[in-house]
Amino acid sequence: MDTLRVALPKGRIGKDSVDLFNKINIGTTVNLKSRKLVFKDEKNNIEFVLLKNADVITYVENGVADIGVVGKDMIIESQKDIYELHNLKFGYCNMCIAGKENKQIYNRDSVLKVATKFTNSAKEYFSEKGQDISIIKLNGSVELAPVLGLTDVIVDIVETGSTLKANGLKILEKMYPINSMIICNKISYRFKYKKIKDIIEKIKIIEERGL
Amino acid sequence: MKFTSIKEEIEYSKKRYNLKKDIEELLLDKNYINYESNIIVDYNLDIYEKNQSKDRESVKIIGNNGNISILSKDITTNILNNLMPNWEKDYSVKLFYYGKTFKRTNNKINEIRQMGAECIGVDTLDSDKEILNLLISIMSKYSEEYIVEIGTSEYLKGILNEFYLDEIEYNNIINYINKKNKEDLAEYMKKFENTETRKMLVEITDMRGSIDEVISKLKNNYVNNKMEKGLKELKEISNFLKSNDIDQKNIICDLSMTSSLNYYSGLMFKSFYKESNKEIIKGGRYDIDYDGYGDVIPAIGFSIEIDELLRSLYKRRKI
Repeated sequence: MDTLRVALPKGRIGKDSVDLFNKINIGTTVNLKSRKLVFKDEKNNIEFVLLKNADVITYVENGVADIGVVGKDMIIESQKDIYELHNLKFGYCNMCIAGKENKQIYNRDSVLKVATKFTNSAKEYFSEKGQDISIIKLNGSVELAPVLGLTDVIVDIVETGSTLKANGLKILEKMYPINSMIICNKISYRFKYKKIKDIIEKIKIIEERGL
Repeated sequence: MKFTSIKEEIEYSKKRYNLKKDIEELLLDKNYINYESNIIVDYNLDIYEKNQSKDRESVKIIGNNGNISILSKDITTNILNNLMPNWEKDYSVKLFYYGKTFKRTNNKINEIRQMGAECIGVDTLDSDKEILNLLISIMSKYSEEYIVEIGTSEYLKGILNEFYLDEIEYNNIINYINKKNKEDLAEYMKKFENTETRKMLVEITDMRGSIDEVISKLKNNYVNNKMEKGLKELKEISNFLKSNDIDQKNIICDLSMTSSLNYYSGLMFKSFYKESNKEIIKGGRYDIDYDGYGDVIPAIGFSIEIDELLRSLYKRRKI
């Protein structure tokens, strides 16, 4: 029987994922405090690899990992060719449009300037809404853009809203909710269907029981 | 593939030629005739464009006089463009081709080598069986670990017809099914009336297994004419596989196949090797309702991604 390789992101989502897998007696050998990046669960014939959040989808899409856990924000942004098999009950936040209070988002006669890391997501969203935009891609401290007058608004993930508040910004519109998902490679889905389906079914049972 | 030496590159080219010849012999043996279509196609004459993958994928060439041509993105379409204007009633032909297709994704133009077979004008069920048999022969020739996935466009189309969807709704639903995202599909479908068909649509990604398993899962479910047509086709295929002692362990039925759903009009299939990260062969029934001809012409075929097949053989050191 082939080994199933699971890609997990480092950080909090990785920890929540390992906790969840442990509840169904999988991946108990994974030690997040160690500097190791590969852990073998011999009993279940599953290998866990720890990756940077943004790389999980790439490993899964290319078939190096069979399944992975990743935020919906990354899935929507990357537009990769993968299957989205199960919504997990952690990693909750919202993709939002934020700016200075009372800033008007929609105006057919003007082009809205948007700063974001999530350029594909922003383009798609505003295109559906029929609002012309010009995007400025930033890699961090996105909140600064409207404060210093670089753009009208930002598109970013908001968890608690405290960073926005600290910089005098407000959520102007919640675009869509975000959570973590189990994603799957398209070929693995075919050749390892039963094993993948079994894991997801067990996870669903744990979630339904609220454990 | 990228090569580090001239020897390797020439060797690869030789192997690709041998592989092509190998499949060609199989097709010639079954009385398929070689047909070469053009690489450059007049954009206005691309009669099946509307049924094909989106227009933005095509690579366009603008001539000095402003006329637009496209680089072939689907060889079957080109063959039909050439043959349909002179098509005659009751004529039938079995063709095979080898050529290149070009597709634009983001800012890149992809050049794909394809080989394929088409049965045009041949009685529906006979050609379904023949093409499926041929596909299994090719897949099993190069590896024991393969999957041939079978579906029917008619079942899913039949369910979708029940909802009177607008274009955005239709695309959203297809996108969820295409991603096998049952949970988000269920959430999206909440805006529609809670009917048996809604439940069936939400559960479409679970309709996977052997043909008999899938058919038995659907027992007692509501069916309209289109869905029934699809299921009947699958039952006939299942009987054919059994009566010809074709091992079904590598054959999986999946009713949530969505690729080019509007193009196909019956049996659909895709096949995979474990070592490859792409489909090796794909195809299906695409009966032709050609303007100006009248009757619908039965047609079914498949295309083989030769480079992907070769890559998978390289990986397993089978060539």
